[in-house]
Amino acid sequence: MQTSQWTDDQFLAAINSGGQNRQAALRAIYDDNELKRKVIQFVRNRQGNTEDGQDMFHEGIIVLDRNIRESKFRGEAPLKGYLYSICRFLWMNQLRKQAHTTQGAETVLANEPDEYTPEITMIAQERKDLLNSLLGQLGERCQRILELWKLSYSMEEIATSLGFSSADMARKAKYRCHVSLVELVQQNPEIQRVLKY
Amino acid sequence: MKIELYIERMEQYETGTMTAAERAVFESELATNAALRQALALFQQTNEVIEQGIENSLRSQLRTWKEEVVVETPMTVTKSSGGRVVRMRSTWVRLAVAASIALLVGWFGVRWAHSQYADEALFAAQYEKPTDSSFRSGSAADRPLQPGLDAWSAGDLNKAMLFFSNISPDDDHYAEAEYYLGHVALQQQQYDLAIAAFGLSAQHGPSKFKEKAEWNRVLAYLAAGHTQYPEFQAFLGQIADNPAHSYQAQAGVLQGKLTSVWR
Repeated sequence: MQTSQWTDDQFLAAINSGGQNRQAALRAIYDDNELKRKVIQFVRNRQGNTEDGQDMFHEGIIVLDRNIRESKFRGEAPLKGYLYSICRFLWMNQLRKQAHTTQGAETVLANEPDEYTPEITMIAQERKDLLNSLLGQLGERCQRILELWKLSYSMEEIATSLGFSSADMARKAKYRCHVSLVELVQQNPEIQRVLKY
Repeated sequence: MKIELYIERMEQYETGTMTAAERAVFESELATNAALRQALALFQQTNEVIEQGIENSLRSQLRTWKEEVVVETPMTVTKSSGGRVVRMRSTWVRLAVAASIALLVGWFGVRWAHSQYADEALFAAQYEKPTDSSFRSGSAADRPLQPGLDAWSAGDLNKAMLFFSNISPDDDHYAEAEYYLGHVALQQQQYDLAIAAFGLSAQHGPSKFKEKAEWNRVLAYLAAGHTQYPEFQAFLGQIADNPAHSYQAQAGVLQGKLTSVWR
């Protein structure tokens, strides 16, 4: 189904229900070439290039996905407009970080009307690195189990996807992985400090 | 703190799968149990770690989708900080295919050109077998070689060769007999015999077959692949350098082709 065939409610429901529905919804959003072009055009007109525009579109989808799952976006505004404003915000934020373009970015940003105010969790690089290091300690299989569980995949789907003999085995593995992760966080004061903010 | 004690209930609490009663009990326990509060705080922090994993996976998925699109798109132009970069993944593929085709065409072209300048091809292009009508010229008395010619026409090459070979050098038709013998020998792919027969015909004395024999001797060398032989070069040169020779033009052309880069 193409984006034009999805309603905003369908997008929200699919992403919230998780599993393959979320995957299909995200793909449909990704395939919205009109929106993608619009984002790229915005970035290109403001000191960026096509690659930057593509990156912002990707990052925007990542934020949108999480905001929907965490009910920070409930369809109060049109979904495409919301995604566009996220991408715009992300790019302007990035421009601000670039010292040599700060002045230009501020001017550009000041001229941009904010139709929507997306709530965006900006993860600082240090925090990101610590989280990724912890994920590395957890191991790829545990990461995947917990991700799928968090994305509402059923235990049957997790078992099939990761090759467990049954849903029950997948459930046990998920339990062990979750305990391991809590223990890893517990043993790592630096992570706890970073995650408090 | 034994996390295993609480993890199941914390998960139900966080995912909203507790009943209202269970939730009330859990929250009242939270108020009095410091270990549970600490465990819940840690549990909530693990969410951030898992979310980071989800973010990484989605980013990777998006890159994969992008790659798929790039492969389908013929060429997109992007600009990096250092200047414009042309994304040419599929263009490279096209160029590689075009280059391969060009190489193949080139290879076959060279092979074809080479084949056109090979000794066999040059011989085939220059050689003219005497026609049957030439065998019937003159009166019967003037056609003492007719039995040999008939055998040749009938395809009995051995009989024809035997007949022409038995013509004495003293015979008035010796030069003609050797000339025909040369042709039959060529047809039999007995090139040395053909060279010798044409040579004898040419050297026998003035006759209407002299120039033909000289030219066909050259062609017999060519058919035999003896183009590096000094005598071949000499015979060809004699014809090419003789403006009065009937085959001078053909000899000149042949000289040119023998020195072509395509050989």
